[in-house]
Amino acid sequence: MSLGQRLALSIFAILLFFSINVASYFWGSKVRSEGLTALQSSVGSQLLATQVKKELEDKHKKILFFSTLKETTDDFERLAKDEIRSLRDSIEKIALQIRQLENVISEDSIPAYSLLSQHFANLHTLWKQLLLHYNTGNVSQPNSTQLKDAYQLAVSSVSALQSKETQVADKYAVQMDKNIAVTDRINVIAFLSSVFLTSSLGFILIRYTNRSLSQLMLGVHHVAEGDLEYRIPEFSKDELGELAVAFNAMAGRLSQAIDQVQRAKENADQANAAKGMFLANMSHELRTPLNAIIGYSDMLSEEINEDGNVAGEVLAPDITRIAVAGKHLSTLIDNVLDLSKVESGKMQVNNEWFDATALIGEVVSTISPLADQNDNTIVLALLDELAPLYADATKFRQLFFNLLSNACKFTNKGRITIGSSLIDRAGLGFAQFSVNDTGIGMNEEQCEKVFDSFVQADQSTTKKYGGTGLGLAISRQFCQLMGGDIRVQSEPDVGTTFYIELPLTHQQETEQLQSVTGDAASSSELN
Amino acid sequence: MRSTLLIVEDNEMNRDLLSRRLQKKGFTVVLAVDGVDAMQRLNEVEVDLVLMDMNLPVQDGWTTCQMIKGRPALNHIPIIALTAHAMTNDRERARAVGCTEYETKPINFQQLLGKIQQLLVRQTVTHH
Repeated sequence: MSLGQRLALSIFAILLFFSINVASYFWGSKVRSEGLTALQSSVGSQLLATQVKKELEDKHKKILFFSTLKETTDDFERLAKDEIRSLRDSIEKIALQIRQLENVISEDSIPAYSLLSQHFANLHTLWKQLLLHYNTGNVSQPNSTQLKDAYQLAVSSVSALQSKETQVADKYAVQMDKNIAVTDRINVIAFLSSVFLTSSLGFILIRYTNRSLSQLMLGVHHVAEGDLEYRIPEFSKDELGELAVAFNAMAGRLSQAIDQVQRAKENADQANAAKGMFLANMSHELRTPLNAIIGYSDMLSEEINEDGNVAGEVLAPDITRIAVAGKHLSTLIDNVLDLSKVESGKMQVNNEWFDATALIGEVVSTISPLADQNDNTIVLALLDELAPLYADATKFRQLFFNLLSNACKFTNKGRITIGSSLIDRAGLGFAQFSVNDTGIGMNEEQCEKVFDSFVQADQSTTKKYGGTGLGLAISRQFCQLMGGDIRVQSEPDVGTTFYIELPLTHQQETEQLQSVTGDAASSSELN
Repeated sequence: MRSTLLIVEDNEMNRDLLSRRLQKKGFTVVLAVDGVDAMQRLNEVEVDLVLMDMNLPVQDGWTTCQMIKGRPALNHIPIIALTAHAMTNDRERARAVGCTEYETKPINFQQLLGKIQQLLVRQTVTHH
């Protein structure tokens, strides 16, 4: 569950408890007011009933007195008209009060009330008869016993009504107490629950947030101190958890970026070191022939100074030496320029159609004096049906010149074989040429470095066999410029084979290619 | 008395050049083409001074110098290191392996000659 959802849920729960509190309060107060109204009406009815009782007693005593007086004495005093009227009014007043009672009594007291109204109606009738005929002396007047009985019944029914009303009031009081107790309990429970919920939620939130934050802080500290491999362990799936995941991803990216920068720096350092090495080697390679040129020239001028008539043939060998050293220096500079042209991307490739077999033949005849020096035999084992090649003929010639002069230098009384074959590289046709010798060979380590500038197989072999140390580096660059490559296979004391692979571009394909590009050009012009 | 110099140099032209010029100055010259060859010559001939090219095939000049200085019978012979490298630490390296002097190629012959004579005089003084 996300942090936002948790917060929303806890706020909802707290609001719910709050609403329960408010609702229970309103319910409680409604019940209380209802009870209070009932109690009030009950008290009112009691009062009225007491009043009725008192009036009844009062009038009963008066009427009974007159009745007894009439019964016991024949010559009784007649009642004044006013007196009778006053009594009648009082009785009607009681009747009115009893009717009023009907409005204030509770539902439970209705049976008691109907009994009262019935008994009072009897008494009322008796009292009215008595008062109507009192002065006339009619015999059918109610006697005192009848009056007493009716009175007793009426009074007792008032008392019954009163007690009933008391019961009802008591019932309401008990119900009210009960209601108060229930609402109080609900309020207390709701309050305690919300307090508990709020505090525990707060506690959990704080604890959880602290734990998550401390995990995050730990990660930040690790990364700040450079430990980019540190990953924050997964602790939840919410926003803070997502933050940790994002942080881990960031650390990963950072580490990758630093690795890349480190690698780039290492590469740059290596390139720099290689450049420094190249310069040091360059200076060494250039100084050696220069040393010879300066040394021999100095010596010659000394000899001429010492003896002005020194013979030409005495000086000739040294002059030849100066020329050889100068030519070597010139080749060296050419090679260095070639290499720097290739490396700066300024070397141009001028492809043309030429007969590779014929060109190799020319190179072989040029190189044969060098082969003869070490008693080497050159064997040509080229394919008869080798199609014309589309490549840079000048570079192709230089390639073979480099490979063959190397083979001649490092082979003594051996055989140098030039071969060719057709091979397939990823569905494309290539011509493969091989130059194999039976010379001193190289070990695996030497083979790996043989195409690097100046880093020849072995410095000592350079010393022994001469050379600029750049021939193979240039050869590789030329092959790659022409879309091919060069490889070497060698075994010490057995011999070395160099393989040159160049792409075979057939005339038809080239024509198609030209027509396609021509079409594209014309259509783009039209557009 | 003619002093004997051992020239250890793999480059044919440089060897030829140096030996001829020193012979003209009246020195007896012994030649070696690499470190192993040099040790052999030192065993055969009594040499007063060695001129050592440091970049040698088979066994380089640095190792050869250490070997010479390691032999009680040979360690008194002064060595002049010759190198085509222009790197500054070559001078310190040469001193470390026991070379007495250091010359860079292309060789300034007059300067080299001066150093040779100086070392030979010192050699004579300490020996007598």
